[in-house]
Amino acid sequence: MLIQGRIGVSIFSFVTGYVCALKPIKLCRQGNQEAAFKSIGRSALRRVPRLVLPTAIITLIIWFFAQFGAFKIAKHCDSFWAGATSPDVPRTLWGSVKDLVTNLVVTWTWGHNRYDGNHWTLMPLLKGSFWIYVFMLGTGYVQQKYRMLACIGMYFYFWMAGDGESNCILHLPSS
Amino acid sequence: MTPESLTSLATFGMQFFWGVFLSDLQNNEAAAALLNERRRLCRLLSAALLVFGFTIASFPEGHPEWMPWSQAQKDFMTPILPRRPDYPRFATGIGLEFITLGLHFNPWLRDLLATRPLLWLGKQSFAVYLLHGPLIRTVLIWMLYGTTMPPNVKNKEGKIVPGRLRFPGTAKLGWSLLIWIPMNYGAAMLWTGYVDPWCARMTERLVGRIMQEPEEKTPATLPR
Repeated sequence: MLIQGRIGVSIFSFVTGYVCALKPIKLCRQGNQEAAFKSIGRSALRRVPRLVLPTAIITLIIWFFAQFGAFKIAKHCDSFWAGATSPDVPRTLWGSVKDLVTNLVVTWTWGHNRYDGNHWTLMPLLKGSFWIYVFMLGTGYVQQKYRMLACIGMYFYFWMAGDGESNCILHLPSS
Repeated sequence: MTPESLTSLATFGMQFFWGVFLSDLQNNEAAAALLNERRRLCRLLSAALLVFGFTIASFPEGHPEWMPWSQAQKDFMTPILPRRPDYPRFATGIGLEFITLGLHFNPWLRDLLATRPLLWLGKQSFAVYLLHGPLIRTVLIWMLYGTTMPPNVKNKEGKIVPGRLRFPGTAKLGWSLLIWIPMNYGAAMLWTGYVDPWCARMTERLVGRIMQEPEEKTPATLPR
């Protein structure tokens, strides 16, 4: 399990839920819903740039090095994974720039980035944090035990949906 | 992994709400009272949950039929999971629920996980995540395969095709990783130290710029 690294993304999701809810829950428990909602608003406003900016920077860096053939060895080695997940470089500079912009966008529309396939998780993580903000807005005045019940309800909703969120995600390099 | 199996990843929705649930549980008086009053029971419960959680999260990526335990787990999961489930991801997800619940019942273990070295690892985790992919495809690959391109070769049909570099063996992979992993963390430290704070500053500047002035404040019904 640890070798395969499968649990890593699950932990990221779990921690996202835990962290986004912790402060609002504490404030709601103190009866200070106003402050809880304010803190949710603060986080929600900052969430998009706080995730999009670093992702765009690393994509730009990878794109830059790709132009100088940084992934050529990976493309020619016998590791199928390394070759398949390494970006191809369009022949012209204009093509490269277009490709960069496309990938910066589709990271957040399809959950897909050719410059690093691992970015597929970021759109679901961003969406998830907003589900939590809305959930906390909706349940801020609800008694704690019923909020916990609602939470378990949401949990099993996603269980039954086979985690419907990921239907549109293809964790595969494009050809 | 086939595309069909990707249609169900128990990685996201379930985990988000499990995180919210545990957030609530930790701020619940009855749960706190249980932790204080029934320490032995909680410790036992914690151990059982952790062992159980790690076991089911260890469900193999492929060939569960090779071992009786994983086959039994698959047989158990089939009727309770949605159609065509991604078994490994569900197993990991559900296992993580038991592991985190086990941690909830063991404050001592939680304190251990909150020690400085582990907090440091956690702080670097996002940067490590962003950087590990490109660093594998460049630096680690160069360490393993060298930096010279292979010459083109003739294939069976007599066509000239690009040559393939051969994997140098697990021993070389082992010592390369000894250098590469600290390097990845070093790069992550730079990222966490400079790039991420810059992103935070840019975000604050943006927010400061677009925020309503205090005197413009209207009686809001929704939080700003």
